[in-house]
Amino acid sequence: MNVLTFEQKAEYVARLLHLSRSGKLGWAAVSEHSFTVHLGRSFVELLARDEDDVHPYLLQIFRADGTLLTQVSSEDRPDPAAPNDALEERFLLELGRLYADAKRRALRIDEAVAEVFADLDDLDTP
Amino acid sequence: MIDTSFVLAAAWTRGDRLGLVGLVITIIGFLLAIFQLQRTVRAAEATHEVLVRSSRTQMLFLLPQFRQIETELDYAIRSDQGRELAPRILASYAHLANEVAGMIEVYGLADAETVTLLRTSSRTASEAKDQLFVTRKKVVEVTRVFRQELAAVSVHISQVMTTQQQQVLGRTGRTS
Repeated sequence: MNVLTFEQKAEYVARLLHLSRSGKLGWAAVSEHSFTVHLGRSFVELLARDEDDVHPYLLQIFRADGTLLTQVSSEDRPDPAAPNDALEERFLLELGRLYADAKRRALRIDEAVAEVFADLDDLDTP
Repeated sequence: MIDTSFVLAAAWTRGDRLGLVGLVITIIGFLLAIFQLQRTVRAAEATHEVLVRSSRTQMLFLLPQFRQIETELDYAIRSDQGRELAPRILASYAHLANEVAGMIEVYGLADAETVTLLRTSSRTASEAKDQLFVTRKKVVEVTRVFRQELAAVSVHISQVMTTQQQQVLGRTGRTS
């Protein structure tokens, strides 16, 4: 059952990306290619279907009790009766960016990079 | 003539005798430990040999899949459903190439160049798959670089397959 229209899915992804980039989402790693975040009355899990960090991505939206509400996928397309190439392009781009941001935050990649350079700074100090 | 060993033994205290028994037990213990160690080494070598042999056999089942993927991708390029078919074919290739590269590395079944080609083409397959979603380019364009790499991989894989067939058939005595 399609709970969300393509336009709603695109909006959901765009808003999730905005919140994620603002640092308001506490992403946690489920595995190397799967990340989850609690949003209050719902939580989502975002994963790379082929476990390779590239499209297709799958965003599953759950109710707080763990039941799956709906899912958003790279394979979703606008209604053929009302094609919207620009929206489709933006949706795919933002879904990819959301995955990248979720992974970076869940695995604390920025902190790890900072530590690596801090080690070099320490060794460079006379 | 006086038997010196008898004289010495007669002069031994109870502690000396216990010490001698302890020494003998220690030597026997050492010999047993060395024997056990040799058995363990032989068992480990045999296990490794079995693993290598089974990985060679497994490779013989995996390698034909490269040819199959090449055929499926050619079909997808010519098909009207290429955009739906190609991502799954590319994903299958990326996993297969990584799996075979890993086996080659662990068991030394081919040269380093083959491993590099497999790993590189695996990444290219994933990138091509990504491009199929984010661009409107045709499948034939998006997969161009990958297909070139796959052609190079196929040459290496044919060589690996011939070597592995010889090894497996040689081991079972079915040389023809």
